[in-house]
Amino acid sequence: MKKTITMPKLSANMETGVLVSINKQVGDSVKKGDVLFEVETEKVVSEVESDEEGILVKFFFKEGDSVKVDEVIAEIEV
Amino acid sequence: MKYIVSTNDDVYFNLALEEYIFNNLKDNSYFMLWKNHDSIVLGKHQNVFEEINIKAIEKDNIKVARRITGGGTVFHDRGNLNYSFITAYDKNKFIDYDQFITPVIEALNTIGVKAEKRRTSDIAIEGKKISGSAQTVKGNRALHHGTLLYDADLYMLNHLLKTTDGKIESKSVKSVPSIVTNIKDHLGDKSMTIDQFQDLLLATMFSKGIEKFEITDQHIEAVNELVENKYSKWEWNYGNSPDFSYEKKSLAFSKPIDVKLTVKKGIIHSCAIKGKDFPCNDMEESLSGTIYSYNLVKDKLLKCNSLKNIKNINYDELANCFF
Repeated sequence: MKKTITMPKLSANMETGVLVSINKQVGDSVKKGDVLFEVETEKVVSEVESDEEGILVKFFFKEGDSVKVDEVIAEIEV
Repeated sequence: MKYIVSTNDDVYFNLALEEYIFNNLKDNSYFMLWKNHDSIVLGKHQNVFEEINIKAIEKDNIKVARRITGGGTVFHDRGNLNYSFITAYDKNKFIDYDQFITPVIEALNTIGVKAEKRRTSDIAIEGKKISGSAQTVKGNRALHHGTLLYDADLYMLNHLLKTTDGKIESKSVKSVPSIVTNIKDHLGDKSMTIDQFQDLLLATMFSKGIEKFEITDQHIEAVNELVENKYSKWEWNYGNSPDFSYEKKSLAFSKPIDVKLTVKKGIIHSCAIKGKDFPCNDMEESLSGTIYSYNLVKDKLLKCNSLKNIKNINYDELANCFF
């Protein structure tokens, strides 16, 4: 089964966040709590951790991309 | 909440101490006050080369440090007081600056400083910035920290943060420049030192009392290890900059010279130079693979044999064309 990881809404006014760092690559196995990527918005760096265990099968963006809140960033096959 | 006043003014040490507490001491909340000797502190995902006056920083031997929070580049000296809140964070709630900034503003107001919030994360007096702040959140912990310009050298601040007049393109997080002012200039009693201001701020913010956190030798040892393995490393401070391209059209000894560089992880990856009166191929070859540092680029140019044929060559003027 595929689980999608979306851009979190970190603050009340947030519309987009910058994907400042990608910490897992397609093909990597992912455990719960592993940092998947980092988002920056309004001078806050947030390390986004995985709630799933599985294999990262898709990543739709590159480092430095601006991503809208709720847009799908990655897929994990669980 | 417990408080810590760092007695060390080394920027690497203080950033490491902050990160150590953030990652390891999760049983309590902490409020930390700290000052650094002259240094530049940049946001976690910034391109250092896009934010600083590289030549001036190398000439004055200013330490450059990358922090783990977001946001832009700031100058620290002994006239700037930094504060940090390291607390629990609820993932299901939105990120909030006010819970940390408001107590600082209220304390400043009590002291007699007409400070107010500006934008999301700044504090200003009459529209001029005295404080900027940034955060990082990880799991269930948050780190919020900010600067307080008390009696900082604003000439140095503007001088060291003056960026290149060449064109840089990258996907880095950019700084937002602001007009700044020192808190001391807005106080009735101008005899207060920054150390007295620090004590007063702490006493005013925690008027009901706050317990001191005692740093042990064991903590110091772990912090020093973090300094050694991370904060003092060129790879962390400079090498972690996002890749960028650089373009500058200049005159060297009254002759036009166009420079195009791509820099990856702080190292010149490719170099294209146009200028009919210069031995461009030789310079290009020599600079590829060099760390993008003013002193190192100048050293490479000094060793370029074909440049030695140019009469009255000024290597500083030529090196300026690359920054």
